[in-house]
Amino acid sequence: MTTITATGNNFGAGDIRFQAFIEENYLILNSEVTFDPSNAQYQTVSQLEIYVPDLPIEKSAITGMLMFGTLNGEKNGTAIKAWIKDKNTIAVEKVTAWDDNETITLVFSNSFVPRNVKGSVGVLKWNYITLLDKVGNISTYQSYWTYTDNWVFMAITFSSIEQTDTETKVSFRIKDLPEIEDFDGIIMDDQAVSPSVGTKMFRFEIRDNVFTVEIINPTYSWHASQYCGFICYVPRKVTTTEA
Amino acid sequence: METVAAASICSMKVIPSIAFNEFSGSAGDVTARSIKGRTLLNHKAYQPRTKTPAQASSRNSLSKISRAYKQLTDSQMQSWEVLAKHLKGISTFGKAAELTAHNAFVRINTNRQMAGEDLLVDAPSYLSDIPEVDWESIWVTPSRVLLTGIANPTGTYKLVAKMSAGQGTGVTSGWSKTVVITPGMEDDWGDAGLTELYTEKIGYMPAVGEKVFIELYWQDPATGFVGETMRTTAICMSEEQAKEEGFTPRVQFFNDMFEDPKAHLVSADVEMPGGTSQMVVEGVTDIKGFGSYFTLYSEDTPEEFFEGDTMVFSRSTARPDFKPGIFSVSFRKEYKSGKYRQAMSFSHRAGGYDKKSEVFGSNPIMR
Repeated sequence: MTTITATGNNFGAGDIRFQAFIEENYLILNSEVTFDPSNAQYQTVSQLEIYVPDLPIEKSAITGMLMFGTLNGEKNGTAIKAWIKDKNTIAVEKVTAWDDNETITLVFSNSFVPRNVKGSVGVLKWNYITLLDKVGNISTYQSYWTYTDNWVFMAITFSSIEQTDTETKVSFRIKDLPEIEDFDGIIMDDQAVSPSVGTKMFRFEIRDNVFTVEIINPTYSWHASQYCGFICYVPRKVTTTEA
Repeated sequence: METVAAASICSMKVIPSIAFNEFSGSAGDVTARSIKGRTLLNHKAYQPRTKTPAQASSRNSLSKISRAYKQLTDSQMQSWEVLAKHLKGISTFGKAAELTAHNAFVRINTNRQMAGEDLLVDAPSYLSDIPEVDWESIWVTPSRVLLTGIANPTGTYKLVAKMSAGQGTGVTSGWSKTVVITPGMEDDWGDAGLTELYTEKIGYMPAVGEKVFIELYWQDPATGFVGETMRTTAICMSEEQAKEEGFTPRVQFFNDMFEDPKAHLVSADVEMPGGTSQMVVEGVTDIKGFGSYFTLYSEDTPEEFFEGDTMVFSRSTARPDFKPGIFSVSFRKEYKSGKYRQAMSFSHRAGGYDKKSEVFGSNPIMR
């Protein structure tokens, strides 16, 4: 794992740092980038660009990530496209539907790979998901998780998540999950926002391998979600030994 | 469209001089002439008065472009004169240039028209030479015409390819037999897949052992300038031989590789890049019926199968909807209707759902 510090950006986001895994043919980035969409720089650009020191690949295929706007404490957003435009530029699609929100957040937890690379294609193990120590009523739907020496990839979907009461957050662990770093991620709900623009987003956190989801729909009488899910890459905990 | 330099194209036969000694002149469609003591009989072939639609279109376009020059203002004409003067002696059109302003206008706009660009009334600035096409391999098999390892100097140039039908290996110059296979295509990550275009333009694929004559050059669609023409030949080989010689096909799936009678998939380009364990997904769905998933099958049994899954994000194509979701994308070897087929499935699994969705991302392949 390494840190990539951006040299600049074209949408007024201030300093940007990524947690990164750099391999010969791919790059994984983790970071949340929050900015005020009313800023003049953002208003004038048609594509968001983050400038970085030399990347390991010159251009990448389209990758997917989340973005959300925050207004009055509620997060609503969508999936957007990103790609490595050149060795020093990460490009992100600009979606203007949340430009009237207080802030916009880009959620990087995705991988960038080029197309047409020669070599053999690897296939990782699809691990079965079993939840342990569940707090709340939680049912997983089709889910995938796998890992390498460096990171864990999780694409977990739920047919339902329901709090036991209005105050107690949903939490769980995943059986056989390797030790991973603490992490903050975003779950997308299936509830369309009215008028229908994107869906609601909820935050989840991982602390000591325990997943905890923020209070679901705090301003409504129900505290449940159906067919929600997340996709993320989380760094594995690396055991360091002192010489 | 290839222009025919002479009004007639002749097929020639060498006739034993004992039978036609001192014979010369024409009889019907046959003309005889004596060269170095031998009599050659040429069978006249006339350029047909009828034109194919493509020929008619091409000739009309040339006339239109030519006539358009007369509509230019004095200053516009002057800009073309300056350009023609500059280009004189520079090989900017694939051959040594000797240009008038009118010629430069017609040639550049013909090139631009081939690339689907509008007529240019002001002469473009000549900034630098367009380099020659640089490629790694050309693979010609009875089922594939593919250039690999193409380095597009700017990323904006378009590749023009002219090719002949398969010729005997003894044919040393088949350049007059080449036709435009593509008037300007973008490379696909260093590849130029010409199989469909070749079949469309030539009518049939070459046979193993036949020689294909190939001309390649870059065109800058913005200016109409083209680079030097690179000429090469390729001998058609079997797919097996190509693989033995180092050809590695990309692990890539397009929607047109699958039967899709209900048209669930508007487009799809799914690739597993080598040296990674990642699946790159770019597709658009239009799912029919009540389900939020579908499986498509290859028509035939492929030589190799791919099996593996991933999950990526999706997004409604409706605006200002932007409803996001999560799709699983799966590949399996499945037995269906009497044979093994490659199966590809798209299934909506979470988030907002819309039958018409973009599905995109690159994530690990799992099995």
